[in-house]
Amino acid sequence: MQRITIDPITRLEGHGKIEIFMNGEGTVENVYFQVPELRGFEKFCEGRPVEELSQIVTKICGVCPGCHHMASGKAADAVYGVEPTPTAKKLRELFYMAHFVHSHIAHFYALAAPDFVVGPTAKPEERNILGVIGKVGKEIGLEVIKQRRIAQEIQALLGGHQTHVVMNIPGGVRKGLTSAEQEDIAGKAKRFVDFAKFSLNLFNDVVLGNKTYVDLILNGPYSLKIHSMGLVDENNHVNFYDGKVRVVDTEGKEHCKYAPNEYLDYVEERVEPWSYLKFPYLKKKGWHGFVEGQESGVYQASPLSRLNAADGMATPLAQKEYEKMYSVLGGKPVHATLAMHWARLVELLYAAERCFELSLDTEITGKDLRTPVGKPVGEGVGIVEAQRGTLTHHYWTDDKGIVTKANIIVGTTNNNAAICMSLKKAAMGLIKKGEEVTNGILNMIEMAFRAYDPCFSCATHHLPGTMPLVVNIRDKDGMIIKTLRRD
Amino acid sequence: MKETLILGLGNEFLSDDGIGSKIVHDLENSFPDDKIDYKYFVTGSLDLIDVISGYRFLVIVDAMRTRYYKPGSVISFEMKDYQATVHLNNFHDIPFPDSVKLAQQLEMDMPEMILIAGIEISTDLEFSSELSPELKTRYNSVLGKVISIISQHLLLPEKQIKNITA
Repeated sequence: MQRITIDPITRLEGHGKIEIFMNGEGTVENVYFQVPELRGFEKFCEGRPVEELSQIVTKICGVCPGCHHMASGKAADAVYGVEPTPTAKKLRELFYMAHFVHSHIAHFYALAAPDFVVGPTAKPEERNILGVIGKVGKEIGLEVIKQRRIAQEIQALLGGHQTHVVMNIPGGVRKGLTSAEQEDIAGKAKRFVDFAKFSLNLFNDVVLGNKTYVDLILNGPYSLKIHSMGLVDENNHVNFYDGKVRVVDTEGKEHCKYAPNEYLDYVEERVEPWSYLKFPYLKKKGWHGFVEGQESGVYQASPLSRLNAADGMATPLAQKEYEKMYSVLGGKPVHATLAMHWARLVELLYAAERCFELSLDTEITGKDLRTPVGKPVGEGVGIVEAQRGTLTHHYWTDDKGIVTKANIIVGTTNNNAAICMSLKKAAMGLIKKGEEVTNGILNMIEMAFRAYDPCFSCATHHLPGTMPLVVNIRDKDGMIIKTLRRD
Repeated sequence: MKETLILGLGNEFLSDDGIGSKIVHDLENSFPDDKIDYKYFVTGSLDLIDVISGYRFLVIVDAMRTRYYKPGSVISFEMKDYQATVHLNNFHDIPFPDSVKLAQQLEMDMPEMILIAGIEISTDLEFSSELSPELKTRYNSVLGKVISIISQHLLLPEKQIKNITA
């Protein structure tokens, strides 16, 4: 048996790798994606007041601190058995929409666009954001930087700091919004909407206007027929901050819909001996292995699954784009992994529109920022949609609100099984018997992985940014017979 | 243009991962200076462009996990000799060197000189506000090495240097 190792860690020992095992006939037999796990988070939380956790968890990860802050804040609300005031909820959601705008812009322009604007098999030194800016022009590059900076400024204004957020306290928020600040945010949010529309137009021209790319999305080795998870509001529209978790099956029918505090009735985690990262699955379907289909318990929690799990978008322009996406891709649900990039841009438009809506809401400058809290009820769950999947924080406390136990399921962990399966399908479809495994092919395998926007800073730990790859092709005894390297 | 930024990277709740931030905190306390700004960030990414823009001289202090050096070793290098540090490579975003190149391509105001001090660490996979025993025992030595590196480019008061490294 041959083994191909795609090891993104050449300089940083032991942080993760993709191993591709070839069979005796020279085709792909299996693929394993492995990352080590951060240890000790529960212990770190234990003994601390629950209201402190929303500040501590922002430091689990520098990539989506706002998501952890929100999920943690909601869990702390639940521990105290309180609902934040309407003004506090709107301020939290406004912050959160800016967080989504910031993150989704980065993913599309820095991580997704190079594959489509520059090309999936282009030289690595050209296939990056510099190559993208080279193709689309400096003005767009400056706009990417500017819109991200403005989104950060809004987060810093509302959250106290763009990364180390101190916004939430049980029952509400620490700080309100003045009318002048509201007006300023409204102007900025309006430009988010324009930029999101521009980004969708760019996707339309560059990706949808290219038959090869459309074929790659629809007919390439990138489809995965599994269940779809996402948070929805009372109208079953996509919601990032609040609502119930809805899961639809491979045909798009509702499998379950549950409140955050019911998650343990619907999701279970499995341990595999070859991976440090757990594999959540749908409890009522059961674990049947890494298999697709209606009876499989494997699900996906991603921009695409959020759109699949919902009946629509809550804002008008995003709804229009949602309808267009499903019309072009042949109806709901869509199982094309690369369509996640399109779904992410629809979400960007939704986040921008919702940000604008909230910035015009007269209640958002209200003074009633916090519902008074009493004694803790001892347990609470908070769920939000992180950019890369459904994020759950679950805390247990004593009668003084001191944490005795914590459990977190982060966005990327939800997708662990799906990522492994997508990588295997891509590798099987792209590595052909007797054909050379080129850097272009390796990148196209990575594209299956990148589409999930995975982040292991909190699921496990950080991986290096340049994704250097080493492919070791081994003989049947495990000896390396050839090495491909891409730094 | 502002003068100097000393930037600490890392997560102080993840044991040695936060060594860069911890060192910069100590520098800030020991060398207050109107011409030096001290800032802290968790990851190196596109966002750093805005943080570092407008400074003439930038010093970044970050953890390294190469296994080529002993824990507590401090390796300094300029951008042209860039070596990966833990947070200047960002899997989720773009690596720091590409961020700087992008900013230059967009004609943004980038530092004339960027100096990186990478500190070889022992562990960063376990949540703890404590450094590993290896780094804890060598902390003063690490701090002294970072000060020495910075002193080659910046005039730092001798008295404070003696106090902090004593």
